[in-house]
Amino acid sequence: MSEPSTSLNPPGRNARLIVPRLLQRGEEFTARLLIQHPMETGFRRDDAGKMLPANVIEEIILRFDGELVFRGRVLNALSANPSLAVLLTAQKSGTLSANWRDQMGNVGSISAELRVAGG
Amino acid sequence: MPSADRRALLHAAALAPWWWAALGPFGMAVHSQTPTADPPLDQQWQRARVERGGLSLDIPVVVETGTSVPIVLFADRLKLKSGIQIERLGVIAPKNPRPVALDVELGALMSQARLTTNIRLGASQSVIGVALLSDGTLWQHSVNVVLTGSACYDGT
Repeated sequence: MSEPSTSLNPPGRNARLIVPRLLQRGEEFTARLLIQHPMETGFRRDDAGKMLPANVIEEIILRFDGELVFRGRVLNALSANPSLAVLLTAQKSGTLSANWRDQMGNVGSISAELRVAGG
Repeated sequence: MPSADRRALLHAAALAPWWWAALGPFGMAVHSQTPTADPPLDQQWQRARVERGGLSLDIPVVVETGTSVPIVLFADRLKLKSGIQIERLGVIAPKNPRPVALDVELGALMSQARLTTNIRLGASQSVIGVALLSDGTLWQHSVNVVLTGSACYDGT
């Protein structure tokens, strides 16, 4: 089940960052990041028997208004099309943004607005 | 852990990042292939005291295919001494070709040190969750996972 090589976009361009629409101040919520990426391990072969070059996401950084929330330093074993969910709280409205980079140098980013009632 | 084992382990860990300390005497079972794309060396292991602490690794004990295994790694802040933070969470899969499955740094905005994701497993193995605290303590929780199909090698 290899990724189709005909896809127009480089891997990691298509992503979602899912957060609740409206939050209370200090409320705990789940932020979910989904990235469409083959996370090719480098241990597999294609139909012709050639080794597929490794290409996994090396780093994922999640920030809220520029402040570090979460940084994935090693993500070797994430499955294809990785999904990450973390529990956060927000005291004010702001922008939650995610940036990532894979071994082939493809970068991607996505952001979501957090709306905190009264904040 | 006997002190001779401890010394041998620390000697081995001198060449390795902090999470190797979490492997304990079973560290020798690590796959011999050199992990690639691993972080720069870290000396945190020197101070590491390993205990279960408030860490729980939630992972299925029997998995049909290793391509996508759901895990929840949760380090309970209520089990922390005051003034201590949870700095990093990690998952080690000793029999994966790249044993360090995950190594994640936590910022202050995370209300709970909880990470939900899917990982790949290459073989049946004891999967080890680790949490590094700011005082150098290492929490660890390992779960033996039985796998009926590998994710890292062809054959399917």
